[in-house]
Amino acid sequence: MRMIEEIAYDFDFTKPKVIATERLAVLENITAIIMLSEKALTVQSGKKYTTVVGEDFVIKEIGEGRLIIEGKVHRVEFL
Amino acid sequence: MKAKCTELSFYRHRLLVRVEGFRIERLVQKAFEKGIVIRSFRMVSDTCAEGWIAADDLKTLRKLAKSLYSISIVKRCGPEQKIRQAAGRPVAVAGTVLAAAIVMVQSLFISEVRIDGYRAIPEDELRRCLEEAGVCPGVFRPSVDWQKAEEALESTFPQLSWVQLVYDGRVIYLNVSESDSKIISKNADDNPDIFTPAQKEEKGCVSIYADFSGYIESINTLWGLAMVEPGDYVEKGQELISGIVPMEATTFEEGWPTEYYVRAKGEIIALVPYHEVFSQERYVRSDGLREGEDGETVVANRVEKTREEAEAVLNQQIRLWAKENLPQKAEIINKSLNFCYKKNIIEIGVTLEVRREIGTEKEKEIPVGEENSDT
Repeated sequence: MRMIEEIAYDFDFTKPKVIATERLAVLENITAIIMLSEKALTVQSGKKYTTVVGEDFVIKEIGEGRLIIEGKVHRVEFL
Repeated sequence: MKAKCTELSFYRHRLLVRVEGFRIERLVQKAFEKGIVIRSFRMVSDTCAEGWIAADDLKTLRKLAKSLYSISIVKRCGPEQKIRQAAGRPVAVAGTVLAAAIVMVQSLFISEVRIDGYRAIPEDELRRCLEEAGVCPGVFRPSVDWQKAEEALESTFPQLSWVQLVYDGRVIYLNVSESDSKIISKNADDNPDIFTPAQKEEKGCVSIYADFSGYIESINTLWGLAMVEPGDYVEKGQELISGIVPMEATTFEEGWPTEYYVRAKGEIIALVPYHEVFSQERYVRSDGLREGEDGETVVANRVEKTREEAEAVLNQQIRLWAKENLPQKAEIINKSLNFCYKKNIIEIGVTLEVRREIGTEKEKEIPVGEENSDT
């Protein structure tokens, strides 16, 4: 990624940003929580929706446009 | 208005709340929009969830929930909460404070004094001097005058070249260093044992000679060259361990020394024969009566000693003689007795076999100006 693209990515608050590992998922630029359950979570980021599917989800923190989930992450879907 | 610290207010007093109702995510969304921090939020079932919030946010969350959701407090945590709990139990608080105070006060008293670095000065003397200066177990540490204690040590023991008096917790450490040279102080007469002269550096060639004639039992050479072997008979004055040790040249250089000089050291044990004559009274006083030669009763005021009685007296004499003439480590191995009865005395010739050390060190002159000599 070139530097200009990287800067544009860092300052773009309309697109969802997801950092996911097997046991943890961090969602940024969240504007709304659409659906919440033990196995799935759907959030809105601007005009996009992001769904994280897995098991035993515990939301470690919600606040300041950021959501941290702990649990077994199966997949991440962008709608 | 200054913004309040979210993290601090959260950990100061936090609550585990249970939210019950349909579509809980809507309440979470509203809380999210309001900036309420929710942590460890977990969906227990479709209609129930649990999560941690700051105690200050509970009122706001309840407002947001209206009558659609039921919010109940499961658990309270945080130091503020602990203080409130403790305030409800004054006896426990008083006990804790008292225990802490005891520990604190106890830590201000000296429990032990450790002394290190002394050589000639006995530890007891140093300890006594410290006690006189007010440094001993049980003393209130802040009341100790460290400067005065150090000065007391330096003035009492002038041979101290360095004194360090420090404490670590309840233990006092005294580290001292003594100078090598002997220094006579004003108080030296009071306790002369304190001052031990430093050992002189020994130089020169020394050999060990026999100071008694005898049979060598064992020879343990530390320095020098052993001149005799166990079983040998040595005469008085014979060299036992020589301070001159021959050496072989390891190169073809000319003038290579053929011997070198050491201060001979070792332990030579020998069996030394002694011949002594002891005498004792032949008769002992007695007031008994005995039968005469012609059958008459004779009043006798003395009777002749029996052999056992004479030997008992002799043993006592030998012990006294050994105490005066033999070294402490000497051991009498064997003895033979020869009784000789004279008019009023008994002369007993005693031959003793004594195991003792027989070597004495003597300076040996190094041939000056000759080959191999230093000068």
